[in-house]
Formats: sequence, structure tokens, C-alpha cells
Amino acid sequence: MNGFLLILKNDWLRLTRGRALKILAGMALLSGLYALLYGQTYVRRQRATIAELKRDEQARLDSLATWARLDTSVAANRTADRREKWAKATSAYEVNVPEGYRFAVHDPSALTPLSLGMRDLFPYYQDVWGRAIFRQVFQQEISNPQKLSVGHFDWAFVVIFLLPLLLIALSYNLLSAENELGTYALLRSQPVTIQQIVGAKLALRLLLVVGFLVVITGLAVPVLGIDLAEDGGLLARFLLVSVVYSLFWGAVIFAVVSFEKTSAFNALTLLGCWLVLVVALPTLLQQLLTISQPIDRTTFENLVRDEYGQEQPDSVVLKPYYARHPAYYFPKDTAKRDPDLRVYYARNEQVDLTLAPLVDQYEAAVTAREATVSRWNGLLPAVNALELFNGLAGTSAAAHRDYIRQVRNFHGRWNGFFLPKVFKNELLTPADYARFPAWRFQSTAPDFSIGAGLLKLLLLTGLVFGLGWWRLGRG
Amino acid sequence: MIRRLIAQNEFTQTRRDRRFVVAGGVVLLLLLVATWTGFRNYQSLADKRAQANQTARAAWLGQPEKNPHSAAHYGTFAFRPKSDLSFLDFGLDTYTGVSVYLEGHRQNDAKFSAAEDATVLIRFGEMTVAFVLQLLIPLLIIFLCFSTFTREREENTLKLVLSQGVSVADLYWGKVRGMSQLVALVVGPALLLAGGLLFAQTGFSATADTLLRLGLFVLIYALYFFLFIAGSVFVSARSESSRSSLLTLLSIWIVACVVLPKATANLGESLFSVPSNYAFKRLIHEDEEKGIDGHNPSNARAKELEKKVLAQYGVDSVSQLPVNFDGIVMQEGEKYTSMVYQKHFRALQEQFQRQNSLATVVGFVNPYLAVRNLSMGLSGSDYAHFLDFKGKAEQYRFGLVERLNNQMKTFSKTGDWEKKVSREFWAKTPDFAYQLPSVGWALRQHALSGLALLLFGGVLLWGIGRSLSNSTLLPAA
Repeated sequence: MNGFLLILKNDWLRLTRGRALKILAGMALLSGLYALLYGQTYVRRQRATIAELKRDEQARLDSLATWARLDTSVAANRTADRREKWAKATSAYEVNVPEGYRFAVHDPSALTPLSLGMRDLFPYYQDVWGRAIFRQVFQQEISNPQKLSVGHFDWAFVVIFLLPLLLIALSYNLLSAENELGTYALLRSQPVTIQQIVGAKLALRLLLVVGFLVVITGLAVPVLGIDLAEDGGLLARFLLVSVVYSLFWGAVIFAVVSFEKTSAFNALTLLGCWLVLVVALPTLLQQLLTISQPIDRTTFENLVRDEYGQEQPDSVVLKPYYARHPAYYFPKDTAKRDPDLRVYYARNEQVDLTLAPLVDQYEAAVTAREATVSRWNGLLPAVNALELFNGLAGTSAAAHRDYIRQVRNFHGRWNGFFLPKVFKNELLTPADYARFPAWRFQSTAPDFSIGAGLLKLLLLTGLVFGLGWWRLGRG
Repeated sequence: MIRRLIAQNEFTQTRRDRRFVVAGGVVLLLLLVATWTGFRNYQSLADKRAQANQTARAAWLGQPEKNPHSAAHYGTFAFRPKSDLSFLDFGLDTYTGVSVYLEGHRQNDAKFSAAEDATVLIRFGEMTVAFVLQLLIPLLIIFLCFSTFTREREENTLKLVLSQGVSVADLYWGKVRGMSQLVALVVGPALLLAGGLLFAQTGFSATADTLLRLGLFVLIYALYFFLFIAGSVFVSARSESSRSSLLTLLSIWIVACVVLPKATANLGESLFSVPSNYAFKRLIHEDEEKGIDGHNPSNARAKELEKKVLAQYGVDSVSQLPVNFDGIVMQEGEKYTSMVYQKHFRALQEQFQRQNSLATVVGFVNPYLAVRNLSMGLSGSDYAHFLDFKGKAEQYRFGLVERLNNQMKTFSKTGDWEKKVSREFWAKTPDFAYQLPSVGWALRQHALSGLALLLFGGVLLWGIGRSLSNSTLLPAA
């Protein structure tokens, strides 16, 4: 045991006295801090936009509510301008569509700055009007394509791409250096096994890496303003995934070192492993997916084409509409309306019904692609880890699809409130304003399960570590 | 002569090394796979977009008789065709929109980028030919070159070679030549395949422009690899051990190819912010409000226009006009909104260019960034080509809407929204046909990156030459 501790102590002294650890630690800390600040800046900008949207919505609805309360029996309020404003504020259509539209916001979670995921590729807010929902979703937020192509320098990037390199740089020569310095024989004369020597040295380096993970994750709490009482569990799971991912790379290093080759061989082989697992295989799979599971959105043109394209007469559109919504049909109400907005809603619903199979087909194709990735991610630890990070941060493509599902539901509720009034030709009352459906975003992050992904990562880690153990034992 | 012998020796020795066979074989395989999959992907996308353009045209021609302004609202689509060389370098094609909806009153941004359909894998990049050439071949070069000098020093053969009367310069350039031949051995077959596919896809009648683009593409990568080889052999010569040579080269690769591209793009985005889509639309709306609204000729500008038109025709009221005043109002509105959109889109694009300029500037010290820009520029998959497409689509849109408004102006009277044009009218409107700009135009867009690559290469070779002439290349020799 004393010999074992002596090896550890000697190794620690060698590490701390050399320049490599200081340089690497400095670089790692710098990258970690930059990643935190980048994530914070990115999300802060999105939050500022969200606040602006909320102010806009509040101001519009407050103004409408004020005009809806206008006492039109007072002569002074009967001016053309005032009557027009009152008419707008009490019109179910005006509030439902052009004046009172709402913003459905995909609020960032506390952990979003740590793993920005697909948040730049998809919009994080959507204005919801009463018209066809499929003409509203599938928007894009303004982004620089060059920036989109290189992705984020967030904490997830540091952990997935750079951390393995840090660990490799610290450990590639942990056994070969003994050989090259001529101390190997001395080391082997100690009453400890070769597995224990390599294991101890690797454990020391892993401890340093885990320490780094804990420090940056800890710093994230004050920097990003994470409320531990509310999101502590999520943050702990995030840290757990990063630790297990580091353990996987520890196992890879253990396996490569077990071949007892030169430092140059180890460095090249380990970089090769990194290249294959973090770069080559994911990019290759991405390329193969686009060929084997193609998605064609050129057929989506009708999603953006204006409803002016509908040439059918009103009666042809209204008949099936009333068959679907008998509660909106009032045959005795034959009074002429100007404008008659009933057909507007019937046409918009027809648009949605026409487009729904196309959208469903598209969503099924994307889900199928994701299922393929999930099937393979057991062999792709970097992809697996990023999926887990994005899932915990609520920034995955699946989280976006869930958000769009919520937007569609909200659109249904929003229209469900106003349409009966439009068809009954009823005016909105000031009391109605308090009953308007409000948007409430439900994040998928808190319920995201990391169990299966983590198990795959642990299994692979165990397998690779076992290979190293076996190799060293043989030697 | 002696350099050729040294080169031959390096070439033969390394070619017989099992490690080279494995590493070179893997890279060649990846290159071939990337070429093939890239080509398949290109074919599929090019076909779909060509079909989509035909469908959009057919829908336009198939419109029933209608008021010209309703046709402007119905609009049409422009799908961006894939450029011939884009299968070698996808560039930003995955991240830029595929189609633009062309309609009256507004300019729409390109929509439906392929990245929106992607899974989490998109964050790892795409295995394209350019990806292998830009990232993996340099790594192979490092693998081949890191010990060219240090190994000789460690095996005590360096002094032996030098004592034979071989100059350090001969030894250095001989090794560079040998390594260049090895890299050509790996890259050559894939480039031949790419060239073959390119010719096959164009029916063996590629245009001079495409050939020139391909030639320059090969030339730029040849220079890039040469610089990497020269630099790596230099580092090997200056290093005391294979280990330190390898670590230095790997650190350079990681910083140049992994960290800097991301860091510059992220920093650029943080320094030069762009408005949100909401704010962008609001700004456009506010500016539009200042002008006339095509549907509402009752504001001040419309009145001014009315006065002008009445004076022009020498009548007192719009009802006396021999033309449809609504058509005039809408065309004037179109001009104004077009101006507003141009102003805001230009400001946005300039801001994006500022963000990207950071990477261009860093390209002076990092050839990876310079080559990346040049490569996607030559492949027609960069941001400049995308903007060119968008600009031409907008020109077409404006022309189309102008034609519809002018038709409205001349064939009906003011207030008549019911009169319809016959279906033959749709066929008289020209189709949208996008023409890729010339290679000269593409090079001008990336002149700074070209200069950066040449300057970096010049400085590197000058430094090496100086080191060779001062005999300081080999510190231990």
C-alpha cells in the first residue's frame, strides 16, 4: 500500500512540477469560462427578445381591453375614431387574428446556456393568430449560416470535444514515459500490479478532470443564476453525464496504454480514437442518413403560400366545415354580415386539414431519423452525451417538436375561445379579456430521463476498460 | 538529383510502413465514401429542386383566370439549384434556405434549410470531400511527417546522411517532396473519382467555368497540403524528439482546425449582433408605414401620387383616368416596400459579413480558415453565392409583380377588381432561371482569403528558406 501511495505521490509531483499541467489547466479553465459566458450572452439576448415580445403583447391586449370598456352611451365616446377602436376591441375576429395575437414562447431553461443544442436552428417564439396554424409554424429565426455551420462554443462543446483531448494530453504517456525515462524497471519492482499502477495514475488524472468539471459546473450556478432548489437536480444530472463521459475516455486511454507502446504511438492512437468517435463516425452517419432517409421539403410550398390561392366558392368550403362543427351552424341566422368572417375560418381550417398529412409525414420522417441515431448512439458516445446534454437543457430537436405540439394545442384553445363568438356574431365583453387563453410553456427538460443513455455509456466504458485490464493482465 | 533520391527513399520507406498503409487506407476510404455519398446527396437534391421548380412553374401556368393582383398574392417559388461542384463542398448549403416564396408586397427570406430536418448529428459536421481534405488530410500529413527528422536523429542516421555531403536544404526539400508524393497517392484516386463523377453528371460536357472552378479547387488544396507538409517537416526538423514534434503539430491542428473556427464565429456573433426576426419585421413594418400602402391609397403619399398622375394625364379625378389608378398605386407601393426590404436585408447581410470577417482576418494566420472560404466559394456553396441567388430571385419577383401591376393598370379601370386576365397571360411571364456567377466573381468574393493563403504560404516558406540558409534548421545538427 505504501508503494502504491508512493507511486501516486511521485506521479502527482511530476505532474505539478511540469509545465504541461499548468498550460493545460489554464487552457481548460479559459475554454470553460468562455463557454459559460458565451452561453450566458446567447441566452441573455434571447431573453431580451422574449421580454420585448411580452411587453408588446401586454401593451396590445391592455390597450384593447381599455377600448373594450369604453362606454359608448356617452356622447363624447361616439366619435368615429373612438367607435372604430371600440369596434375592434369588441370584435372576436379582430382580437383573435390581427390585433390580439399572442406570442407562444419556448422559454430557455436554467441549463440552456450550458448546452445550446439546436436552439439556433429553430425559432424560440411564435406569434399565434387565428388563421391556419401550418401557415404560421416553420418559421426561422435570423441567423448567420456560417455561424450555424460551426455551431456553438458552449459548455457541452468543451466537454464533448475538448475534454477528451485534455485527458489524452495528460495521460497518453502515463506508462510509456516510465519506459522512456528508464524508470519502468524500478516501478515494476514495487509490490503493486501493473493494473494498479496504470489505474492509479489514470485515476489521478481523471480526478483532475472531474475536479475541473465540478469547478466549472459550480461556477455556472452564480454566473448563470441557476436556482439550486429548483434546478439542482437537473444540474447534478448534467454533471453526472459529463463525469461518465470523462470516465469513458479514461477507459479508452486505459485500453490504449495497456498495449505498452511508445508515447508517440499512444498519442497518435488516442487522437485517432478521438477523431473516429467524435468526428468521423458522427459525420459519416449524418451523411449516410441524408441518403438512406431523405427528407423532401420542396413539397412544403403550400405551407407558405397565401390563402388567396383558394379558388373554391364559399358554399363549397362552408358545407363540410359545418358538418365538422355542427355547434357553429345557425341556419336561422341569415342576416348579412360585412365582412362575413365565417368563411375565412372555414378556409383556414381547410388549409390546415390539407396540410396536416404533409406535416405528419414530415414529422414522422424526422422522428425516424432520430430513432436511427438513437439505435447507433450506443457506439457513438459523443453523440449520446450531446443528446443527453440537449435533453437536460431542453434544446434538442425533440424538445422543439414538443414545443411546436404545444403551439398547435394553444392555437386550438385560442381559436376555441373566439370562434363560437364569431359564428354567433357575439361581441367580446370587457370580462372576456380576463378569460383569454394564455400561453404556458411546459418544458420537457425536467422529465427527461438520462437512464438509458447513461447505461449505454457505462456499458461501453466497462467494455473498453475491461479490454485494457485484460491486456495489462496478460502482459 | 539528390533531392529526388531522398524523396524516393522517404516515399518507399513510408509506403512500406504498415501504419501508413492503415492510416492512408482509412483516409482514402473516407475520401471515397465522402465523394460518393456527397455525389448521391447532390444528385438527389438537384433532381428534387429541378422538379420543384418545374412544379412551381406548372402551378403558375395552371392558374385559372384571375385578377392580376390576386396572381401576385398567389405568387410562385424559386428553388435554388445546386451548383455542379457543391457535391465536393456542401459549404453553407445545408444551413441556407432552399426556396424563396415570391409574392407581391414583400420579400421573403429563403426557407426550409436542410439543417432544420437534421438530428443532433448536424452538430458534428458533415463528412464531405472538403471536410476530409480540410481536416483529415492535414492530420494524415502530421502523422506522416512528425518524425521525418526526429526519427533520423533518434536512430543516429541524421549525422551519417549529412556527413555524406548532403546539404540540410537538400534533405529538407527531398523529404517534403517524398511526403508530397505520398499525400498525392492518397488524395489522387478520390480526386479522379470526383472528376469522373463531375463529368458524368454534366454529360461529359462541363462548362469552362466548371472546369476552371475544379482546377482552382485542386490547386488550392495542393497548396494547402504543401504548406502543411512543409510546416510539419519543419517542426520535425526543429524538434528535439518525435514526441515533442507530434505534440506541437497536434496542438497546432487542434487550435487551427477545431478551436479557432468555432471561436471566431462565436466571437463574431457576440460582437456584431443582429436583430431578432420579430424586431426585423417590426423595423420593416415601421418603414413601410412611412410610405404608401399598396392596398390603401388614402394616405399622404398616395394623395401626392394621385396629384402627380392626374396632372400627368390632365384630368381632375381618378375616375377620368384612362388607366387603372390602383395598378399605379400598387406598383409605386411595390417600389417603396422593395426599397425598404433592400435597406433592411442589406444591413443584415452587412452585419453577417462583419461577423464572418473575423474568420477571414484570422485566415491570415490560419490557412484552414482561408482554404475553407475559398473552397466553398469555388464550389458555389458559400454565403456570397446564396446572396447572389436571393438577389436574382428578388429581381425576378420585382419584375413579375411589376408586369402584373402594369397589366392591371392598362387592362382595367380604377376600382375594377373583378376583371380577370386570361390564362394565356401566365405563359407570357418569363420563367425564373438561375445562372451561377462566373469563377472570377467567386474569386473576387474571397480575394482576402486568397491573399491570406498566399501571404501565409509566402511567410512560412520565407521563414523556412531563411532557416535553411542560416543553417539553423537543425538545432542539434
